[in-house]
Amino acid sequence: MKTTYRITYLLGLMDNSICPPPVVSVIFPSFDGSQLVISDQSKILVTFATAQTPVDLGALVKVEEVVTESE
Amino acid sequence: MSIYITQPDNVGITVESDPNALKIASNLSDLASAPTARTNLGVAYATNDQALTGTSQTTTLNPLTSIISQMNTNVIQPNLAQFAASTSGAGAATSIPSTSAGFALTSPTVAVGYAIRYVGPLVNGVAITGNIQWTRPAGFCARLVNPNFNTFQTQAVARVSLGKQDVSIYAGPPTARGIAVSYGASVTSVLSALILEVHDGTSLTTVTSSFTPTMNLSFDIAVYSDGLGNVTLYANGTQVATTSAGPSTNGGGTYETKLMAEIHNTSTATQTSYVRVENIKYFVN
Repeated sequence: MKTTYRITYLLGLMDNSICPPPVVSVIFPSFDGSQLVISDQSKILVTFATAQTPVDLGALVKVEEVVTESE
Repeated sequence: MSIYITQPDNVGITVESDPNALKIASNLSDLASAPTARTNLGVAYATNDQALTGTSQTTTLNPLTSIISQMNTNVIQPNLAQFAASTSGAGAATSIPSTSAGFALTSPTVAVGYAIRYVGPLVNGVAITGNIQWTRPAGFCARLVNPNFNTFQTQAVARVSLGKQDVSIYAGPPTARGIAVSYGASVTSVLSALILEVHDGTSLTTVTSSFTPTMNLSFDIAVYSDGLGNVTLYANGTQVATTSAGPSTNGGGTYETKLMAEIHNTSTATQTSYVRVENIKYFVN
């Protein structure tokens, strides 16, 4: 079952000049670029084929599972 | 009986005694109303609205409406940071080079997938809630280049489009009212002719153009929809394809409004393909 995660910064805009953003592979070590990534200045959405355990980067980076996938 | 005209009426018109007659020496300055005369001759100046909406191909601009048209808020060059991104497939990537006026798109290495940049929903000058008003002129333009440092594979397609759905992100031709231009490669790094793609809300129509881009040579594309179904593709300022099967009615789903650039592997490739998209603008009203 596909699982989508939303990554948001609680402080400032995200740098969207590079996609996939480098922070994705830091939060999800198994990320290899084949997964669907959607990013803008406010969020990153990453969809995996199986559920992941995100690395905790601290209180200012929030990672949450998206129940209903949206943009 | 014969009638002889010894002094035709057009002889000596400069001394015509009728006070209502035009005089050569007056150079038409004796017209009661020059604007009315221009209208009667079919050469009236464009109104501000005509200058902004581009509804005529024959009406002339005067200097004021020329300035008005340059201040046209219907023509938008989005800030690059406003472009969202999406990638799918290992190796797919997109970036905004610090020295570029655009963005780079790289297709996946050995996979089907895509790299996409897009903005939307777009703001309409005239309210059609959440959608582009296709009954009025709309279009987009961009400068594209395929640098020699990267190949362009036969499995790849590059595309710029206006009107794709906002609720889902996908690579490929428009599936709702929209206009697009795309191209691929016949053999590795030998690019194919541009293809004009239009969708009128019911079906997709494609027209192969007379312009074939070359690796490492930038080229400008512009696609213009006149609101009546006529869509024209220009390459480097020259018309290279046209169709009357474009969108000419409003409707469809909400927010089918994206301005999108993409590179898409339609089947598995052996290397990445690359395109850079610069100076991208759109026009809706």
